[in-house]
Amino acid sequence: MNKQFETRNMQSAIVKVLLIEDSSKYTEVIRIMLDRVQGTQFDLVCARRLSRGLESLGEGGVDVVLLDLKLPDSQGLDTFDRVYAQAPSVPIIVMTVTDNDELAVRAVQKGAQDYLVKDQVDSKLLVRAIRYAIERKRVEEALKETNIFLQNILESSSYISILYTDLEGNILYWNKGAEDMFGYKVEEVVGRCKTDILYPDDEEETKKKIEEVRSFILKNKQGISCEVWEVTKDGRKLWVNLNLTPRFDENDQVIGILGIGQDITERKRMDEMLLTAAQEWRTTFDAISDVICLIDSERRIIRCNNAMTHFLQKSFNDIIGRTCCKLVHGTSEPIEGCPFERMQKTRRSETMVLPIDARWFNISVDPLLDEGGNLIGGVHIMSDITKEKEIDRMKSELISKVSHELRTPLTTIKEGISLVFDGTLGQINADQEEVLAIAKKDIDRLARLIGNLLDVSKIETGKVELKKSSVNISSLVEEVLVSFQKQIEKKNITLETRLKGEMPPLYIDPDKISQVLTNLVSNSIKFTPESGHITLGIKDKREEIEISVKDTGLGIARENIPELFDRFSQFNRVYGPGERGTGLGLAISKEIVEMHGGKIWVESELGKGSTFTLSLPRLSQDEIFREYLTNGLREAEVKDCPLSLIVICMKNVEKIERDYTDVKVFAILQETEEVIVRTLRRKSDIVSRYKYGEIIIAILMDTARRNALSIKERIGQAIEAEIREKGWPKDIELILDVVTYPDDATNEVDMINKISKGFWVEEISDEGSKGGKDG
Amino acid sequence: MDKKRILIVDDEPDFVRVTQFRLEAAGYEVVVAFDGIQGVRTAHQEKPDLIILDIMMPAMHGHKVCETLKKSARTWTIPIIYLTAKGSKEDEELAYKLGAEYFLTKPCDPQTFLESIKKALEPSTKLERAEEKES
Repeated sequence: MNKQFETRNMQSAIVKVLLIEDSSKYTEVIRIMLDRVQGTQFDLVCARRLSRGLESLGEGGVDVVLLDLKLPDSQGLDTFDRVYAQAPSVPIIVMTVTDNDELAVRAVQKGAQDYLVKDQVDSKLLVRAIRYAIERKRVEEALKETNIFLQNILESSSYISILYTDLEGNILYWNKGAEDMFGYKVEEVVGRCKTDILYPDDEEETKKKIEEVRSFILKNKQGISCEVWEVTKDGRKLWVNLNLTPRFDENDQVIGILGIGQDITERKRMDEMLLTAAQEWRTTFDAISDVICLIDSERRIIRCNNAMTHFLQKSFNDIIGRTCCKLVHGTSEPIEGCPFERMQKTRRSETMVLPIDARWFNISVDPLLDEGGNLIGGVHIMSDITKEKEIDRMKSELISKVSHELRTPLTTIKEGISLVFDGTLGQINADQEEVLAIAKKDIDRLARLIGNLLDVSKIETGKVELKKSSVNISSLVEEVLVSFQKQIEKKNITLETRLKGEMPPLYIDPDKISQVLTNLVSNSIKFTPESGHITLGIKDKREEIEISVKDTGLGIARENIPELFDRFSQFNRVYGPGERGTGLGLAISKEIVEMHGGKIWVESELGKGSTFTLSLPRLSQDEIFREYLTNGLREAEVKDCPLSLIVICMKNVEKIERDYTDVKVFAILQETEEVIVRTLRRKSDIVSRYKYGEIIIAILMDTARRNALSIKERIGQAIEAEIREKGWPKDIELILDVVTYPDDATNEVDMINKISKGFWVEEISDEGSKGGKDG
Repeated sequence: MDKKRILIVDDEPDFVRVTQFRLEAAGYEVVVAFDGIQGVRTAHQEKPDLIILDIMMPAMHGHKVCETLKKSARTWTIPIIYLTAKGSKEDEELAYKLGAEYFLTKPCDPQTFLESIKKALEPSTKLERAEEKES
């Protein structure tokens, strides 16, 4: 343990002896005695005076000191004290005379290793004394080191209190940690009873507990740990974890108890907070009436609330670990449009509205991320919105009813004023005309408002069905612009149209999209000051067509943009010339565009102008036709009625194009389509052209083959009449055919095959690719 | 040539009166009925050239009036034009199924209104209608 002692081995090394003795005669005796010793070599250094001896000691290397207490420059115990002070780690043997051994004994008490009576010393005794002194000193020093080491450990454990008590509970040891923890200094507590200090008053329970623990230790003679409240000097209560260990005497009797304590107040408080928080969370989670569950990335439910157990009529155990599609929908795969699936792709909150067992639910799924931002699942919330739905339905119904009721008197007023205004009932003067014109304008506005309200309620109740057909979007835009010509001129607005190349036909409801465009252009004109600028652009974005209306008008404040497409939101309205708004236009536009699977948005800067853009998906001819046919067949199947297709094709289209122009051919086909529309009469019949107008197909719902054939005849005659009337090329060859469900075919594929026999050979041989020129 | 006679079946007297003005100004003779049953009876007695029919009426519903008239040998050739504020898709489909010529919604632009009447009165249309029915 200590290097100094390890190297001083008497058997192998020279032992350096410092003899401090004023008698030269006795010095000589000692030298002779040491010289006689076998096996050990002694190096004797002699000093006649204390001062000389202390010098030698100061030089170091002395293994043992033989000290005569009576010297010329020092006498008695003082001599020992000074030597001891000079080198406390060197063993000292005091030499004395017979009559003065009391002094020597006192020196031993003070730290000398031994004492020798001068006239009794022989060689053997001297060597033994030296040897023992050195050895004893070595052990003593080692113990001292160990003690210091342990002491340091005990003292430095400032966060751990260590105390030792006797069986009565009196404190015998109290470390630095205990001082820090409880605020009592060691001198304040040693000798006092632990109970009085740490459990000063009350707390019968704590005292009882301590008593029990004590009895246990005494009875079982083994340690135990417990947690108790202990009180500090300044009255704070600490929650302490105590480890108590008994200490035994040589007869194995318990003589005291060592206690090691740790302040766990903070930990305890945190534990309790966590527990409370968890309980609060659970209670709240269960109190929510929405059905909530946490789903992992494998669609398994990892946690759910009470509402979910009620909703599913199952216990927690039957829910946790199962997949949500199985439990909620009874399917092994996610349902179509499942918001959880969408959320996994977008990593954003996704929602859907779903009817389940005659109730309506709004389902929202929010992503669940770990600390690293990785998606680990989702929070699935189902809110019962049956009531809201019902209220919404009632509201829409009310709007619908009220609007109808308003319409009837309005119709009469309008008709009455028109009759007088247009002079049907006789001449009117200029003043009368002006007044009636104002009245008429406001009636028109009222009619529009009611019409819009009806539109909204129809859209909301899902009563609107799109009548889609192939539409030349450029022409549609032109048509809309023409109707605004007067207003544009009146406000001296410059109108610019930007068309990027030839646009493919779009498969849309022309009336509805026209309504949207009219609304956007009308808004632009309304909010653009005199001599402003409006730019209309159409861009082919491959997957969709973007139509934008850009103006140099008032613009919209950033904070107003989010609610712009809400119902009855109107900003910066100015009452200038032109129609007054209803606040419904953009809401309806948005609904219409979304029904088409498109998007509408706005970019705007206050004071600089706005750009409204709508994008409409571009469907291939094949997709369009299939959509038609699929919807038609589905309806026919549901209603259990026949469905007929009348197919009209210009057989020699290429020749006609060569001989005349493709513009001419396009015009002919367009007019042919119009002839067909007129001949059909029923609005519900759908007519559309495919392959850039080379094939025209009319889908006739609820029409049997016989009827379809007679309609075909009529169409044929009407077209022939048109050819004669309009002076179209005589050599046009038109083929007309009828295909009927369920007579000719019962499904979509057979239906297409049937048509293709006559016209669509190339189309079918290349199924899957987008037909025609637009692929 | 005799003036064509048009029967208006509508429970709104104000509207009927105003419409009457419009039609008479356009050179038609007008008879009126203010509910469904009266409408059917007037059609039988007067044998008008065309009927303007509302849907929501007391006594007898417009669709029922149309159905009744189209079933009767005396009246089935008379073209019927619906003019109603109740313009749902189902109503329109039903009207055409029952044999109506046109389905117009209130308020209707006077020109469209008169144009539809003119077309419905054309003999060719009536004839085709008959052919289709027979086929």
